[in-house]
Amino acid sequence: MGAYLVRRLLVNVLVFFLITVAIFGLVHKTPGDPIAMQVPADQLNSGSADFIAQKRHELGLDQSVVVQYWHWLLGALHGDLGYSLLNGRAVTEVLGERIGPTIELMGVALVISLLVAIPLGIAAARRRNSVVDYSATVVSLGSVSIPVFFVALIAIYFFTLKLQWLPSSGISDPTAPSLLDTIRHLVLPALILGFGNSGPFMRYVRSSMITELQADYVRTAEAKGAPPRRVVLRHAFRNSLIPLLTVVASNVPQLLAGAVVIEQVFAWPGMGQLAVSSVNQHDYSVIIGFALLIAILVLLSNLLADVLYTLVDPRVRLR
Amino acid sequence: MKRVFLAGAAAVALLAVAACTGPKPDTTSTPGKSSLNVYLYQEPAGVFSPLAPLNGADSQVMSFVYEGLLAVDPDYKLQPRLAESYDVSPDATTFTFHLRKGLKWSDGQPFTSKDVLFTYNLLANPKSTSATAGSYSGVAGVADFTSGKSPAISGFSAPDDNTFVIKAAAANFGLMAVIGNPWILPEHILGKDAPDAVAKNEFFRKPTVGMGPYTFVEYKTNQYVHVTANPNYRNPAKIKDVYLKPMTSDVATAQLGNGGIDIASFSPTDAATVAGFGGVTTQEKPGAGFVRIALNQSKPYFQDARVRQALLYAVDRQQIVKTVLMGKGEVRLSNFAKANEPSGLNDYAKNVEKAKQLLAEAGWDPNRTVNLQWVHGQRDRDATATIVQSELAAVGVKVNLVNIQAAQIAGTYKDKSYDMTLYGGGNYAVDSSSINVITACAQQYPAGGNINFFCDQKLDGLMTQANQTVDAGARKALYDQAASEENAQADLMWLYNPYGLWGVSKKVQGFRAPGSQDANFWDPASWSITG
Amino acid sequence: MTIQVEVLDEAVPRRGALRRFRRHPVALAGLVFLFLVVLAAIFARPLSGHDPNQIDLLAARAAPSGEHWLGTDSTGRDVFSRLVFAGRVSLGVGIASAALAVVLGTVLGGIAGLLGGWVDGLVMRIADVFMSFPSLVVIVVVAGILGPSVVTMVIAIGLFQWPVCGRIVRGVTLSLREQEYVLASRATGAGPMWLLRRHIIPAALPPVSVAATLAVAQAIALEATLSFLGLGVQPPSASWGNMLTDAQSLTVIRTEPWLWLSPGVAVALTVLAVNFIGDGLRDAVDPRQS
Repeated sequence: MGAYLVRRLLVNVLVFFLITVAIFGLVHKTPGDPIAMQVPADQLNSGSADFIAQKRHELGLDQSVVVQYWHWLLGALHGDLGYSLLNGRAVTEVLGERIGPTIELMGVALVISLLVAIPLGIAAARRRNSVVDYSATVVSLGSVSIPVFFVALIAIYFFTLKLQWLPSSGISDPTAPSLLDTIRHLVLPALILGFGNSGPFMRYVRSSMITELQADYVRTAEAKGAPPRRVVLRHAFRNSLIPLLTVVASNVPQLLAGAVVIEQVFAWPGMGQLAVSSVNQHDYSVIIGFALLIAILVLLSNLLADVLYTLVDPRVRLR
Repeated sequence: MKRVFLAGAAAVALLAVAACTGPKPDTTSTPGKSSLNVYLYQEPAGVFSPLAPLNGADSQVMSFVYEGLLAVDPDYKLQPRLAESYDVSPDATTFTFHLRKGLKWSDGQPFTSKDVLFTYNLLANPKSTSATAGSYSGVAGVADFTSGKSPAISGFSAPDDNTFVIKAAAANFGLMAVIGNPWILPEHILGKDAPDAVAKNEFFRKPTVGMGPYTFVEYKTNQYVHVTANPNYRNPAKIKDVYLKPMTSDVATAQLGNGGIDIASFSPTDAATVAGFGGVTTQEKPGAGFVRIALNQSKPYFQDARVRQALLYAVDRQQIVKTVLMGKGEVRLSNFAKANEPSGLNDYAKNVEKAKQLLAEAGWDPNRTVNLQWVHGQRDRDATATIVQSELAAVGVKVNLVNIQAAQIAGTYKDKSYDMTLYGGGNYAVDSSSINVITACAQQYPAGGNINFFCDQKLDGLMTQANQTVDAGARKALYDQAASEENAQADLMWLYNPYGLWGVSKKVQGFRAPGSQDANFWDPASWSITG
Repeated sequence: MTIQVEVLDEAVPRRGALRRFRRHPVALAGLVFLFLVVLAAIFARPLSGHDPNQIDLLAARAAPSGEHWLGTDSTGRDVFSRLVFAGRVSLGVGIASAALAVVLGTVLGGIAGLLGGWVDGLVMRIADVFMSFPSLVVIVVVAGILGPSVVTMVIAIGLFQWPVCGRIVRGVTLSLREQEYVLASRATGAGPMWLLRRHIIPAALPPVSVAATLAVAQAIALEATLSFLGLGVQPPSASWGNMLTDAQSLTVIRTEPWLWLSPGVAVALTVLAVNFIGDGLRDAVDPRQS
């Protein structure tokens, strides 16, 4: 098992390295000058060229891409991702203050998606081909089919504009922050993100429960007269739990993708919003930093899924 | 039972996460009677430095904590601030500032002309990464200094503690509008740094020493910038604490309605909503710049003035203002601000027949397709691009809309490859000489902002002459002639000048709206709040 | 989401599949709906009666009426006509990216399965990496660097969806490789291309068609999301996603619901329909799953 994980880890490090090379190559190939962009055409004057050259030099943009990459890699290994082209703040600092809100949103959404998926999946598995099963399928397909931003607009229309129950923007009321207020701001984005992510989980719970419920030990327990509810929760569900965690771990990147969109609609000050605004402002150092963070997150969640998987399935250890 | 457990776990997780990462209730920021909440249209970058490129939200914060020799008021007039007055020599080359006496920095240190000299030397020095260094090229000795021929800038001097003198390289009355208002920095804090290291000083993240009516307290990212009244200000501010709060326009509008925000700009779309708020008054002000389409006149087909006039006749700019800006703006007739413009300019009201006739006379090829490029993302400009495309099609000019990345625009200017570009901005309201940078032959890109490669010797002559004239009446007459010439030449497709729209709580007195959501605030010391 | 498609060892009885598909009412409904959407996209011009880019400043922000079935936008363009023209873009992007994914997947999966060994290992490792990254986030980064364009988007979506098909084709190839008639034909000197055409593709077709259908659904949803974020189809071209971009102001959401409801419903129903079809197809080609 150890050797297997070490191999996976090495592969991940290699992939990670290739990703940074790819991003750097892309950025280098891109047309346009993010520094020249900072001086609007109507504020140009004879000194602008000096300013731009000075700025490029200061940021090291006048060096060859290989040198730039080498410097960046050395820095990155020391936890220094360079500075924002836009405002000169350290990229780690810019990213750092955005991670908290995103984790908060994703964490709560994940809990919500499991709260939706587990009961529905179990119910659908216990009554296969019933109305419950059928509607569960429709709900799960709906959750992956209807774009989250559209669901978000509908929710804003009803809960913010018509009923005026919940705010539709930001992480807290900037004029009167409080815990209750924070929760109120969290409700819509987390619910929508959670619901949108419940589909795959529900499908998984349903299919693994179907398998478990047919297993001999469940039949034995039933034959012994154990109450069905107890059989389902004590035996069948418990056995599905760790594989479910594997699925959850490997789904974290998808959750993040949803968060990017949700943050945009709800003006949630997280990494997704930062990414989209950096993209619009061509702040390449922040974009690279963001990509790096995503790569780490994806590779870590894969590794976590791998570890969980080896725990469940001893055959893997022999590979 | 498991279900109950899961629900409980979820609730605990939700509370725990919220408690860990959410903002805690902050006792210091509770809006009391002596505090004011002001909306910021975007998140400040957090570098409050006059050296950095202009960034709206950061500048708005700086307009609370710093002050310059002069400042521009909401009517675009230069007003004395740290300088009590200034004199211009009859040949328009020497500007002498008389500083107010007995002024102190917010930390109690005396303020002198040494600070002014320090600041101007820093701003004019490209090594300090001063984004505005080029603006100082009109000052005597700057060229020698930047080329290394001279160790100091001869055009700046501080003959005594209360006098600061700027000498221009050539007669240049408008120079004050360009370099009269930079914020002055404290030499006793920043003077120790080498010029190329100053910009990195941590001071600019927490500029707690300034000459402005407020002093900087803290910037809580994602929440607010807190400034508090500067006790050493010459006439201390009436409101003790101000919180500048970045949020979305939607939220700001809602907060304006429920009293959470006292001062906020709003979009034309929300004008009706804001007008319906009981406790809020609204103000509107023409902006300092304007939205226009540059026609690349290095291309032969845009060199004929009749073509450029025809394009103006083809577009119903009045209707654009009415529909797209909901009437909250004005049609532009020249580069000159409305207030500085002579009467009798051609308004190029929509006239399809006239446009077709002019195009025919100029020999426009109806099979030619021209590209109109713009950076997508601002609602009014997106709509305008579409409208222009369709209205030009009606007079036989085929336009292809090109959505360009902001970072690639400069490249299309550099190689003169674009046909038309829709953009906006600038500040032409304070002094008419400032339009020179977008019209003069010598200011063609990349030397200046004349990106349409327009060149009219007659206009340049009038502009230069006007800028050498100290007498206000004579200067105005020359600028009027220049405006008529420019209006007839149609160097740009002037479109519109959007108004800055502001909602102000009725409890606040003394606020005078600036011309746009990103413009600096004027004289916060004079604002007061009741109830 | 990732949907595991079981690979069948034996040839699928086609007629039974058709019958099973017809018994799937939701899939049938999805097929009918998708057919209507495709028709509307093909006959967009006669159907709409308006030019999707024709502005009319005097009729801006009009509510739905007999003249403008779904109202007009902020420059007076007809929303219904933009909606049907946007359908072309959205379906086009969806089908093109899914096609790219299928082609890539078939080729790479076939190669991996046929050659085996380290090639197989390498291709599958690459597939794993692509599968594990959220395509939306990657495209946001790529579009941010290269600038948004339809081509970038199609290539990026295709690149991130091929592993599903690739795995299916590889699985089919691996199981076929060992079968006697294939071994026999190889012994008589049949080349790998022949093998691919004659045996692998026919056997892989049913499960690949399911994966392709689901890929189309996913691609349409991705296109809408990216365009909504301003990183996909660029205005003035209409796509369902960028039509919704304008609706990010509370005032527009409240006062002009026709601007965002119709493109939102269009994309939601279309993706749902394609997903239902995919679901029905799966049940049809692999009855053991239901």
